[in-house]
Amino acid sequence: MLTTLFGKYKAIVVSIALFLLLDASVLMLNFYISFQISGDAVGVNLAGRQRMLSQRMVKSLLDIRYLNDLGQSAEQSRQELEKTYGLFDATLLAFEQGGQASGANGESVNLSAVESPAGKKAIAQARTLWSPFSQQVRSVIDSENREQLSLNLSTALAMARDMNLTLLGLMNDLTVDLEQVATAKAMRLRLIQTVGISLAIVNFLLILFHFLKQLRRNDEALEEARRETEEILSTVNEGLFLLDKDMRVGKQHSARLESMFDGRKVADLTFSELLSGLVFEKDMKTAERFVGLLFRADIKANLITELNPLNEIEINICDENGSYSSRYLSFDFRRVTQKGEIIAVLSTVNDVTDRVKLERELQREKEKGDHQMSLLSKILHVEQDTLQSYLNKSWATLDDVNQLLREQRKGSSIELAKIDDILALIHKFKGDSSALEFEHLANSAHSMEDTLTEVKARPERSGKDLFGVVVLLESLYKNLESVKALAERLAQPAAQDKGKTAKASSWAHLNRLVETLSEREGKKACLTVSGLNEVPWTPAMRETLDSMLVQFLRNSMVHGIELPDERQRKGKRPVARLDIRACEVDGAIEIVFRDDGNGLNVERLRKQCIARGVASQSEVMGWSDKKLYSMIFRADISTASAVTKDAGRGVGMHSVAKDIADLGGSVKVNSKPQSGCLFKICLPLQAQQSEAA
Amino acid sequence: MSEKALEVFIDGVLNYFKHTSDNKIKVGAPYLHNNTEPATLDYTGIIGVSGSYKGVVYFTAPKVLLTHLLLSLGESDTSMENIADLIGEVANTISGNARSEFGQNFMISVPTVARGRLSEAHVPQALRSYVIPIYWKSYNAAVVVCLEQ
Repeated sequence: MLTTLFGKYKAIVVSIALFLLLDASVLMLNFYISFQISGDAVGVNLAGRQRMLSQRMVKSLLDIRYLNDLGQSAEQSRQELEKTYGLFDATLLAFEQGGQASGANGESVNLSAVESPAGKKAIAQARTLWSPFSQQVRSVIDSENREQLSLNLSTALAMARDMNLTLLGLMNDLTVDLEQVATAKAMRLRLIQTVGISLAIVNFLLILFHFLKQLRRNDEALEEARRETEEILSTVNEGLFLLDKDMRVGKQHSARLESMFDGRKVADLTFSELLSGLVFEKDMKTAERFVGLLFRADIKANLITELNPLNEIEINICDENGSYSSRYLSFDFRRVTQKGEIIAVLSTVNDVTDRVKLERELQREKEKGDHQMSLLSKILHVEQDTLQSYLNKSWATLDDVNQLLREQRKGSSIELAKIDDILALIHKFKGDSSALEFEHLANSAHSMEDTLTEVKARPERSGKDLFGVVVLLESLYKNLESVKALAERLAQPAAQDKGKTAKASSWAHLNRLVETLSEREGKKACLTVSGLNEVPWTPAMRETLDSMLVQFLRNSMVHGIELPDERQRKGKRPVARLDIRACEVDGAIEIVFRDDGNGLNVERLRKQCIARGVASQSEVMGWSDKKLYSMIFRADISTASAVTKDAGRGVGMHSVAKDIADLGGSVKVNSKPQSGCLFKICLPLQAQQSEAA
Repeated sequence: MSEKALEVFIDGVLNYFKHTSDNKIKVGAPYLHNNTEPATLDYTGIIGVSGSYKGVVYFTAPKVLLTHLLLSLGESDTSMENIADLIGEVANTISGNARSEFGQNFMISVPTVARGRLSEAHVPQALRSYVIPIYWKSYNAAVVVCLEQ
């Protein structure tokens, strides 16, 4: 770290060190010269004192002579002379050779020997004068009697008169010289200070310039790096962020991240807060458990990747309308380590919605594949007009059922008549679907019939009882949409081949229906169709007729035609005969349907009429067979012994009668026990023409 | 869509009306409605659903029913705000019931309230909705379920 810092900031560190060195040097010189100047000041002071001492010695000599002349004791003056003499001599010696001297306050001070030539000269001259004079003064001090004193004193005073002013002048020269030396040192000090401070300022400016330049360069590099990072983070299509040890999202993250999470500010959020309200509770718990493992050093990184449950997590974003839109995100986690310690986790989030949706769509398509292939094989067998007619009719039927459900009177119980009407429509739909071998539609319709029959049997019926019906209705719509979509895809090539298709084939599905029913019921039958293609049916009429014929065929195959063994026992051919014939007779169309089965079971019809309360028992018992035959057109009467997918609810013939009545036609029934049954329908041609118009 | 899911949503509304003074509420025959023109009355409380089923469920009612409902709940202030709050509450009850029934594999949004006709943004246009009429006193409202699997 330290090496790195020195490496990075070497120039600045050297510059600062130089700055400090300069400052320290100036400071040290300052101390040194100040100390010398301080010493010089003492010297100047003592040199000035030498001038005063030279004059005081003369005064003391004069005082001693005066007192001696008066015959008084001059001991005090002598002592003063001795002190003055000592001070002068010691100080002069200190100036001359360097050493201790007594300061102004009597303290001991150390004087350096005077080095300057002028000073040394003044001292040398002073020494020359002082040596004889000091001896004479010494003799005055040391005089033992008045006469000796008088003699020595006269000599000393005579010498003082000769040299006093000279000695004073020399001491003054010394003082001036010392002052000049001190002044020179002070000037040198100022010069050093000026140079040192100037250098320090220059150095400081250099540091400042260099530092600022480096700062600016670093700032520019940082700015460039920041800009590049921002560009990356704002451009990258992934959500990038760091998770710290507290599981919080870092401040730096890609812009895409916020849009992935409903535009929320993600910085500083915990991982749980990031996902809160966007994922299912189950996924949230899984995510929280997993993220906790990311910072556990004992769990290996590759295991983290393998265990990652967040590689395809569903995010649900609620818009202002309260609707959810789903997106799928894939999280990838990479640990960020420093000296072996996990300090953060780099998370990369990818929006994989398109891929997931495509995969799921492909999966759905794959699952639908078999079903569609089966559907396709059936559609391909159906003539285009028949299929189109079926689709139109079926769509209208489902719409009618929906409309019947919708026309509920406020608050009333669900009416039985309405359920009967729905049953009739669905039964017809089932028959039509079955005729074209659309078994999945027929099965759903059959389930709806079961539900409706169950609801019908209840004493009170609420709307909730019909939830199953409406769910099945939606299922029928969807399945019909699939058929329609497939039919539309096949429509174009079929239309091109239309001209080549024999018209007779437009009723071929009836033969296939008989084959299917034969197989399902374990019976054998052969259908003969004649005249149907010679009648100019309108599309609507054709659809109605088709439904009727389907109903007749289903009833015959389920209730009328016997099993082959039974037929043989009765002396009949094992293969039953079914005939459909149409012709124009006296301005009307006559359609005859005939089978050679059991014929209508009159006794069963009679019992059902009694059981359903159609009339009293005695009345029913008195009815003719013809009257009883007409009962098969009632919604609640069936001659079947059991309800099967193909017949037995009693609603089919009710629907047929309704259709015939709607077209202004009539139907006659004839039946012969063990020989067969015949339906003769008469439809006015006028109705057909007016419909066509 | 299952019969059970429809029951869960309608039960939410029935639960709410249980608290009214006149709790005789009847459920009408359900039917399908094309979403190109959403079935709505004066006020609608909408909740979003995500999970195995995705889409919206909403409770829609005329103003007069909601006003009467407010009064029967002892609230004399029948201002527009209170009416909007009320329908939001009903939608919230549906939401709560759905949450408890469907569990943690579903997300149910906080209800939003709309006035008048719903915009196309509220319901997926390509789908049909289940409309479950309800009758309370002399009024009718509906729970509309528009979900795809």
